[in-house]
Amino acid sequence: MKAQRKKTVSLSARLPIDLVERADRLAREKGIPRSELIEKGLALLVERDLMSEEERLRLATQAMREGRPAPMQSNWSRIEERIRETKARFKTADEAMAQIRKRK
Amino acid sequence: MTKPPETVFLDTDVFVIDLRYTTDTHFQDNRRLLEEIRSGKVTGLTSIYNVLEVCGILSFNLGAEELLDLYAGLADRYSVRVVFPGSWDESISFSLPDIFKQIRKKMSFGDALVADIVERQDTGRIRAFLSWSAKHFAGKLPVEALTPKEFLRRQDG
Repeated sequence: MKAQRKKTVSLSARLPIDLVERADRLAREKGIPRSELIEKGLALLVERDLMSEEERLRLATQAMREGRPAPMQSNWSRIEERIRETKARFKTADEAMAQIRKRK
Repeated sequence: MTKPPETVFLDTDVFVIDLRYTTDTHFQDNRRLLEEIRSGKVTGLTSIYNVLEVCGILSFNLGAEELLDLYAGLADRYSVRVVFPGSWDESISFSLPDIFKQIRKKMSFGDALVADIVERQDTGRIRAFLSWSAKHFAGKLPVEALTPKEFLRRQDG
């Protein structure tokens, strides 16, 4: 039996060149076509927007408790980028630990 | 017969060094430990307190979306199992006498929370509690407190 194909529609959009270049780089790294990357990104955005922060937190916690991955995918490249771009609140890991654990 | 992988309990600084302090002198050993866990050679556990501490430390660098992503994805990224105190009803509670018992051992409140949750696990199954500040837990846990470097050295040994 043939697998049913999803109905699709063609879109055209004007996007910033640098964003497209970064997307293409990511698509190459992941070994997927640009269109698939765009589809995944858009799906992620729509899914997130439909779910409240509280609901996502609840689902993520439930998954953690049951030892399975969270139902929503985390954008790790964005997390890493933000960490790289910003200054650490604490100079060292030792200092961070001393602060959060209130050690002298 | 193949030996089952050893289970270790990871403290917050292991994740924080990997994510934020990449120039830390412990980074390479720390990464090696995390790779051993990711590859399944070692089984990793951590607690919800530790996950929240990682989020707390990195909250100064991340927006709301990224922070939620970090919370939701940390366990999967590092292939660790997250343990919780008591049953889950969307709130985290602890037993005051149990925490006080830990504090009596001369621990800060944060360390006592982590020590208590380690103690609640099947400690016969846990090989060691791994922290770069292991000295704060030495002799205070039902399992050995080691730095990741000490643990890896023993694994190599």
